Amino acid sequence: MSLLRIRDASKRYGEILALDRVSFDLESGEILALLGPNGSGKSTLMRCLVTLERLDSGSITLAEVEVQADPAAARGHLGYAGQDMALDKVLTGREFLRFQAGIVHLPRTEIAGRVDEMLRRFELEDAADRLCEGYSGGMRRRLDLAASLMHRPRLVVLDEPSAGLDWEARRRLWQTLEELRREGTSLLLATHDFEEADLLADRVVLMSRGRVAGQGTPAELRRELGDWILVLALHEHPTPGDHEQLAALGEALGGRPLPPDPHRPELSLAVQGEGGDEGARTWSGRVHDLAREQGLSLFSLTVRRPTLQDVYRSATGEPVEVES
Amino acid sequence: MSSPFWQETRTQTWRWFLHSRRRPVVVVSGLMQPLIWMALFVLVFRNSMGEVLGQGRDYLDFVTPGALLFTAFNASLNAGIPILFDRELGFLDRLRVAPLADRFSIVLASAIHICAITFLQCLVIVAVSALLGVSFHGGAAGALLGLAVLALVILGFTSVSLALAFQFRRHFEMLAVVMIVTLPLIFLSSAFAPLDRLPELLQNLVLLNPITLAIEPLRLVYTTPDWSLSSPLARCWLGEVTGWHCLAGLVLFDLLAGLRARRVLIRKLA
Repeated sequence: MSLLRIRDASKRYGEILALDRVSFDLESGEILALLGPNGSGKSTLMRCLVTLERLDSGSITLAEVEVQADPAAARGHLGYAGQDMALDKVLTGREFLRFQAGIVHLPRTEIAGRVDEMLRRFELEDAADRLCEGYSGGMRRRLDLAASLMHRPRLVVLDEPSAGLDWEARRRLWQTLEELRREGTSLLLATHDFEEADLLADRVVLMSRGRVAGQGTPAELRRELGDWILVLALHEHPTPGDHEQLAALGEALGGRPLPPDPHRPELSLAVQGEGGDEGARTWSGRVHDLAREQGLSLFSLTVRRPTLQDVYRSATGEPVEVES
Repeated sequence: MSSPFWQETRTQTWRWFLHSRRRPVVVVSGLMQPLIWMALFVLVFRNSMGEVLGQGRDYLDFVTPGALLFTAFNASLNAGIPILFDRELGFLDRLRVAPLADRFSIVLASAIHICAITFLQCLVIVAVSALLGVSFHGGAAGALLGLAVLALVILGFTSVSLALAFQFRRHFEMLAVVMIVTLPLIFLSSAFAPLDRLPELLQNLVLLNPITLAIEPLRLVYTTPDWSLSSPLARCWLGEVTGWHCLAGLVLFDLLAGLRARRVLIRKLA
């Protein structure tokens, strides 16, 4: 049985349907990313999972415990590092971990050893006896993560773990999460960072407007979309009629157009075809030939592999800023 | 004492004491305020109140129990504010997500901390007033009764404060309410002026104030060697009010405050 099973989870705040029949599973030892923009329902789902809120309907089962029915038992299997890095800045890092150890009932004889182990593990030994208020963003994240792991939970829930971190801190955090996965810890992370989801997650659940818009491994999701993405533009800036002409060209090419962004001149097409450099060259040639036949002059053409951004755009129709 | 409940209560209490140690200004200001009030009231009213109190009683003797009550009341009414900060900053969520044996430990730890700090502040006031010549006349039994009265005040107003902390969303809302209720409660009590000198209608109102119900028996044991809880301390429209009546009123206030707090906490911490 899956470690975490969510079925038809729904939650409403007044008129707003924050979660609409969300269902997915998380297997033991995997990293699952809930991927979507702010307001897509990720944080609401996490808050329901960690017992801070209750679902209106549906069920969440964690380690065979029905979370809604027995939240106290579920908490014993959970570690949670929230978005707002709720550390007590008046405490030192060591004191903070001792506090965490006390509220999760580690035996007194184990506390000092476990705290030292976590400080070492998360490279916080040198700062252990400094007040948390002097910690950098990356150090706070690591301390928060260490605290969430104190009682060796079966599932660690991370809400936007790398938000606000610089590149170096993000890279170190990702390394740590990779190590945890290798050691068998199951992780559920909510993120709007496509790169983070692509690099870390074994499986991705795409969230949009409170619903699941798709799920699978990053490779599966990309493969389902197509082998190549053709990004075509007729002008440097958005020009009326361009998207329609490019859509006609795309249809002739047998491609699947991704929902266009009206603020950008390009139209992206998902197409099938052989892999490698040869495949890209073949598609480039075909596009140029067909455009010439149709009397179109392309301003730009890019042939690249699909990304999770493309998958998300295709599945939700929502434009996504390409960051990487 | 090593059950999960006691472990988590001890851990949270330890955290509050670390806060007090690292931010002593909160403890010191809580102590300075009643001392300053005491000094000001004595300077302003000592001469004129001498006649009012009669029987050669000194105003400093009269006002010391009031200052003790003011300290306990002030500290306990503010007990919820750190918890409200924890809520605002998301720290309370850390506790709500933790596998606590009983979330009542959050409340108990805060109450233990505030009781300890308040008793410490009261001890300083007793010591300062003793240095100024105010002695305690009630003996060991009187001291025990005084401690019990202070404990009832702390318990009752801490319950009120914790309930408020879970009802308000922002600390400034709660601070505004605390500010609004503090002065009327103090001045509509017998902390700084004798009850029998107030207009009759006001006396009845003042006797409904839990602070008055606490001050009167505390003042009785502080100033009277052969005190008795059965002796009349005041009059209201129902008749004479004795020390027993005051204690019963205080216990009733604590019960009501506790029940109200319990309802709020169950709803908000569930």
